[in-house]
Amino acid sequence: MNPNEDRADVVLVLEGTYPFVLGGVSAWVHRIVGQLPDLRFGVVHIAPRAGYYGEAPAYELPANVVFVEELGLNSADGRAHPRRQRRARHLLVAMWRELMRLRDGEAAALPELTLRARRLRDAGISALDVLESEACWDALTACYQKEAADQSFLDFFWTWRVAYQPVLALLFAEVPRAGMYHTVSTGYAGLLAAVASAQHERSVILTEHGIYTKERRIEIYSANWIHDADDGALVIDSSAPYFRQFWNRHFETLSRCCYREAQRIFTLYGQNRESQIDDGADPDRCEIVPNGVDVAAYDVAAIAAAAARREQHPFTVAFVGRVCPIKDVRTFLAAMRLVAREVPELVVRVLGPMAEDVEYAEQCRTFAVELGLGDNVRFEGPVDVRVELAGVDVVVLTSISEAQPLVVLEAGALGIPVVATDVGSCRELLEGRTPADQALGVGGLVTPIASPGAVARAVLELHADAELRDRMGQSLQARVRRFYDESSMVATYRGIYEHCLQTVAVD
Amino acid sequence: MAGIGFELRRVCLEEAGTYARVRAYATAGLVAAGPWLVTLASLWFVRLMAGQLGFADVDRFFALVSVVFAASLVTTGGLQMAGTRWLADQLYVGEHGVLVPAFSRLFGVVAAVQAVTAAGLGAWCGVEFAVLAPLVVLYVAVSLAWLAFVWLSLVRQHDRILWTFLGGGAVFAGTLLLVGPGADLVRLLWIYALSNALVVAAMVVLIVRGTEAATAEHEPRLRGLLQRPSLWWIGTGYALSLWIDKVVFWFGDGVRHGGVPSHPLYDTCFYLAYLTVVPAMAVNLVHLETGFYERYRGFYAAIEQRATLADIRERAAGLRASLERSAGALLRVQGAFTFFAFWFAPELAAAFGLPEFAGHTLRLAVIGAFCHVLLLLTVLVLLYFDRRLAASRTVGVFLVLNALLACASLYAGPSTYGLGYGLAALAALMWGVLELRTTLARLDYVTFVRR
Repeated sequence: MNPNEDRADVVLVLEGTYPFVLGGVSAWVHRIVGQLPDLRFGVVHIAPRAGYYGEAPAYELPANVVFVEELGLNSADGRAHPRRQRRARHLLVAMWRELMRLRDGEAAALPELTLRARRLRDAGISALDVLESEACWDALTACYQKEAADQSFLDFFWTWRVAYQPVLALLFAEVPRAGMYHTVSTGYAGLLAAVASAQHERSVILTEHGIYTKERRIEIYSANWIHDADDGALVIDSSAPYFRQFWNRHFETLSRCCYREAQRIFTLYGQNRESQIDDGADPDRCEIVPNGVDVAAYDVAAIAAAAARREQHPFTVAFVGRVCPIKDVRTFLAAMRLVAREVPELVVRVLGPMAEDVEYAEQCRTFAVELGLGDNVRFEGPVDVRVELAGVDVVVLTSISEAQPLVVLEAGALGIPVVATDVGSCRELLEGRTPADQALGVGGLVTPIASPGAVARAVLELHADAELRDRMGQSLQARVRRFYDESSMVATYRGIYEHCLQTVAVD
Repeated sequence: MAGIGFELRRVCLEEAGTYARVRAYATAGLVAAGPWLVTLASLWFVRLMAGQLGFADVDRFFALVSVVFAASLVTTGGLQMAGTRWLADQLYVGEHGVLVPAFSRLFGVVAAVQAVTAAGLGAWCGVEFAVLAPLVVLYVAVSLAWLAFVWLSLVRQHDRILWTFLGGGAVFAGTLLLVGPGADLVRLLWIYALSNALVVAAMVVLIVRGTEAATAEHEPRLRGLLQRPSLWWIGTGYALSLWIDKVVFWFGDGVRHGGVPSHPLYDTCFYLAYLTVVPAMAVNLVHLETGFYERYRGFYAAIEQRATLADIRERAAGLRASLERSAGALLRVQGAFTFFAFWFAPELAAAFGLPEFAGHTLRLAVIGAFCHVLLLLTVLVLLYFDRRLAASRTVGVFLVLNALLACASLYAGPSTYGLGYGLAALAALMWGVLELRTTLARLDYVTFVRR
């Protein structure tokens, strides 16, 4: 194949996700690719090393995926060439000067770095050479003396090496030529997409579901910073604060690279957009494209559900989601006890897998019995929500953290009002984001997190007023049909892709 | 989303876990000084007693013994070097249990391979069957002694090695006096071979007894021996470079004692010259093995115990200073001895019944040996810092120059005998010192990056 020819229309640059790892983002990618069969997609997937996530993809690849390439960041590629390093000393010094400027927040342009990497490669220098050069050592020791002179140098050295090895591997990587690049995270994938865009002078766009730097920050804080002392005792690493800071800054730098190069930046809801802007994204390029549900698939079910609800006597509240701490099922149960005091015939259905945190799930069962809800609550496990939600009067969400919860959209598609905590995009979903959206009315009630009393009051309010319930259900349904239809989400991305590809064609 | 960001750090650290496990090279080559002296003394005893006890064929005996030493050193040089490193690594990670099983495994391999080599060597020299038998025993015993040497050096049993060799030498001398009178080549060889076998047996006992405590059955992963091919080259190349000029002389200008090549004048000069560098070995043991080694360990220990860069650099400076002090002491002590030997070389040569021009050869050999021992120490220090490539280059320079210049001096005539060796040793020494200076100048960088 001619190397100057595009091997795909869109190359998706991904890390730790589609098509090797199951999850929300992967499912999203799979749907988009599957619903745009006339576009040729390529996938470049970054893993710690080739084969890290197994050999076989976890998804059956649609026919329009023309290639999947894996890029192992740690694959020991090539060897060091000390003599070439000496010859290319000036190039190496300049490379590290740029990398340090980048680290200091002076956004050296990525095209500049990519160009330098190419020049080094032409001089026979590998990514490993850059990492083992004296120029790297000088940059490293200068940085150590400036920031970390009282820290363990061994730890600093390895942290540095582990941080920069992938960055250099990506700067030196060759990404297949394509009409455009689309990455669904910043981080390493974001960097590689930006590098590819600079290499081939094509557009790159970014979609972030969760905010990469935030997710890494959580990982960094929960990482095991405790190590064995020489005498076998466990000690908490006193150097942890510095190294946490180091990693946070590192990932922020990577994100900034991607934000800078991406022509358009998408996320699911307003709060995330604010985070991106805080991390350095240009507000003018940040747009919101929410996830959607397949509204058409709910039409028939919705009618049946409404009919069932009218015939049904006992007031039914459903919790939909994995039974795990982040969903705060205990708060939900405590609230239901308060409701059951007023509404003794209350039916409470917990719909969702119990296997993720078995211990927590068991605690929840016991807790329900202790609360005297034994007769009211049914733990039903994973079910087909579209079918089972029919006959439910109110859906409750008590999560302490969410992005854009699918359950609210599903309830909306069926015309069921929702009581949800004020996390992620819940308020936007229930009250509307734009004026046109808000004009559709309120689709449910928002409560603070970890507040059983507030949840109970909201549910009782809906119980007391059947008309309010219907009105809110209809508002939410209207909102989901208009703004959260999956087909419109796919259409939006088709438009984005076509626009970017057209720009290429014009060139 | 399952970001790989932090996962990566874990993977990297796991894979890089074998961080700079730079370990002490046992100075097997250096502590050889004692045994080397004992060996030379034993052989001189033979020459001394030859007239009185009426030995026959003494020249052929010496020629054979030289060939045995040369060939066994060259053929086991790689194993000695790689084995030293492998075993040091094993001991460093606390695998003391592998000492005995690994030794017994290699013992068998070396014995089998060297028996075949010896038979080939004997056939090539065209020795008769009666000579072949003791020759094979001697060759195998000497080869096994080199192997046992590595093991005992690593558990730092230098004194025991010396006592073993002294005992062996005494047994040899005693036996010679008892059953030696009128001995022919075969009997001489048998006596020498068996007393060497006795030394090996004693060393085996030391190895097995010294490590009794480790009772657990360990499967030694001997494959690790092949992990660093450069060490095989350094060991073999070093032994080869040590003998290459002698071999050139044997074949270029030598005589054959019943098929066995030798060059009595050149050989004798060099046996004498090597004796003059024994003080350097002693200084090495005192300085390198104590002061330097402690600082060396301190340097790496500080890194592993999470020292700051300032601390690491301070220790590196201390290490450099210690090396400079050692080098100074070495130059003073060895310099004095070498000067003395240089001055009295003609008298010394005459005392050993060599022709007059041999005094000149001996002078050049003494200077050459001086450079050579410094070269050896430089290579060892390079290996201490795991600079295998630098050590390989240095050994390569010596090997090539020694071979070429030996040919040149042979061509130029007897007045330049020894000059080639001297110049080769000097040039290689300068090369090695440059390599070492480069290493020491950026020891921190070299330690962390160029592992």
